[in-house]
Amino acid sequence: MELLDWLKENYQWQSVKFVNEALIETEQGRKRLRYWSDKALLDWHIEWRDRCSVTPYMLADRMIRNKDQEASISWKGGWLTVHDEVDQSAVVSQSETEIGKMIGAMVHYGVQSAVDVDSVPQKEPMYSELYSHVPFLRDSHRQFIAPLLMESEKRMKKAIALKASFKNETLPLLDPITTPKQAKKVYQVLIWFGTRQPPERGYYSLRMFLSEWLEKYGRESLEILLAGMYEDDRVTREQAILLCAECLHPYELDSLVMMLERNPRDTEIEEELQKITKEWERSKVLVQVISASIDKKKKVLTQ
Amino acid sequence: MTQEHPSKLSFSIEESVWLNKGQEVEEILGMSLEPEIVIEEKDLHVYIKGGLRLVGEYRPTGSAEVVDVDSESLEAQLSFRSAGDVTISDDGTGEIKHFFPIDVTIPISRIQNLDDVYVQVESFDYDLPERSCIQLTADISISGMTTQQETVEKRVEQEIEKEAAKVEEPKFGAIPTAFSFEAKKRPEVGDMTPPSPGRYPSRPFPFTPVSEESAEPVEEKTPAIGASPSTRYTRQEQEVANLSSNEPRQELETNETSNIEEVEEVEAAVAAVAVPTERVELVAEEVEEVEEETVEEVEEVEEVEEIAPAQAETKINLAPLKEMAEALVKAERPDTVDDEKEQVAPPREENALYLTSMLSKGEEKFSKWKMCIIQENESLDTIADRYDISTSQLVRMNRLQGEQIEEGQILYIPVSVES
Repeated sequence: MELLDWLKENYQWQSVKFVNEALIETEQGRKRLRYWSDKALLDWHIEWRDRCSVTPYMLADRMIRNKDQEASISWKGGWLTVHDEVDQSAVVSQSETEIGKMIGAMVHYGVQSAVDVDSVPQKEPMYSELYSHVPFLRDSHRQFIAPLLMESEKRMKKAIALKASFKNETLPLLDPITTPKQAKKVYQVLIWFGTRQPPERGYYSLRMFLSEWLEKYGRESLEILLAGMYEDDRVTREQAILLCAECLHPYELDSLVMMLERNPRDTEIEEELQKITKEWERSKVLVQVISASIDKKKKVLTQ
Repeated sequence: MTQEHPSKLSFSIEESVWLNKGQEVEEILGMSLEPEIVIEEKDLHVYIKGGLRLVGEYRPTGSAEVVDVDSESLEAQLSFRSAGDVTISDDGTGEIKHFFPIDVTIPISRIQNLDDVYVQVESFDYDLPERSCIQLTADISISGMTTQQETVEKRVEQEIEKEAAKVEEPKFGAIPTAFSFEAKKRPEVGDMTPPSPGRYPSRPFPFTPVSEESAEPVEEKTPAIGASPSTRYTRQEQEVANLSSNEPRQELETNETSNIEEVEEVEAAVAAVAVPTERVELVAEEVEEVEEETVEEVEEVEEVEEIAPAQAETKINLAPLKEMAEALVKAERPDTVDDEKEQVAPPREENALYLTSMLSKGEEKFSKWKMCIIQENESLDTIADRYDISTSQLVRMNRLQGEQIEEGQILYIPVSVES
């Protein structure tokens, strides 16, 4: 049976045609197809999408149920899922609270869920690899990078100290959301478009998301988003501190490590150093905002 | 003798520089102390102003960061520096910069030639009592002064040397972080004799006097030696205040051996003129110094900064105060006080008053001392007017018996923090 016929049969559509190999057009709108070869991964993605929502304002891009109320259909040794598709993303900057709540719900689910699914290994900063490169850099580059390495060591130690304080705390298993573009608005409902990637244990991607949010929408907007996240009381102070620990990790130098592997020109290095300076500063603000929000949360709790 | 001969003022400084967490010292790589002094003549006085600049390099430890997650301010603990703000050199060396201010006024008559006035660092040493503390000691001299007559100073100096030779080498309470800024005062010979009871005027005071006793009577007393009282509020201050409020008060007497031996790890910051009876007071004054002392930021360049109370509380050595406390506890046991001690008590009561007042009175917050060598026809009133201070303060600070002063006598002028 052809795929389109199989979809018509399972979802009881009258009209289905391909837009591209991942998108179809039906009489009920445009739908996205996702193919899954790992059942455990599929189940995990179905589960978190079903569990995490901020009704009635925000929904995850849940799997559309077929005629038998199944979230997936089998196809060529794997599974297919169908999702609503939104053509364009609307401005989400006025929806910080809802998005914060959504993240809070995801964090809570990620801590509680005990799904047997392979997760992405946790990332570690690569800055220490720079030590072997430093002696071969130009003086001006070396004078810039060497102090950053020292400060990176301090950041790393603080991050480790924070994690050590909560070594019995479980890090959440999260869908790797990395950009605010994953949130889209349809009418007055926000839809959170998840991935089909293996989940990751910890806050690496969420840090990237928050950093990008900070860059796009500014500090005040980020503070509102974090406040929204804390509105979900299930997001504990411990988890917030672990998020802060992740933000302390000095990943800013990773791109330079990779660049130096391919013997770049001096001008390329200089451009990279400028980029690092910006990212470093953004991380600094990110840590400030998150740690301040944790302090504020503590004060509220103790009052 | 009226022959002119050179004379000099000597100062001992002792300072402990505390380093922030994460900047502890693994190894001192180098340390220098350079005078940066301006000498100027104005209104019949020579002003020696400026200070001593300490510059040091050290290798920081790689000690683990400690973060208190229960702290009120996580934000402060987790902040890190911007890319352009990191100052540690590329080889990981840390730098210490510290400035010791000096402000000395000498009558022009004591200076024959301004070009002969030198400020010298005669000796300089440092120690690492712990990784977060660099303890510095230095002897500074200002040379180039002359004496017009056989000064009291010279004679007294000789006398003092004799006396010092008799007595065990005093080791005064160099409490870590104390900055003793002293001149070798040259008191009159008569001052070396034990004062009679009631020699120091007693005056009403808003605070309960501290009393202390020791196993032996006081043998000698000297006038006060300039120290650098201070004002900052720390745990020491609380502790001393508590001590000072103990009742009933006994005579404060000190033992030149027992107390000194208790105050270990001290430097001979006080010149040889100091005799044992001054020790308790000096310790107390240095406690004030501790309160004034700063936690020196590595990045700090110029001025001594106010110490954060919390930091001070955790870092200041309280051992000497505890010893004082023990002494006070002993003092509260009437059976240990003999008649002889009671006889010599009044002078120490004055000292005790001085201690409590310095620690408690807001208007007597001093950060440094000036020295003034009394000239012919000068009176306590003229000195007081010149330095905008009351005569009573001068009397008290200098342990004067009355308002009579003599030419050549050195007075210590407290300089208010607020001024």
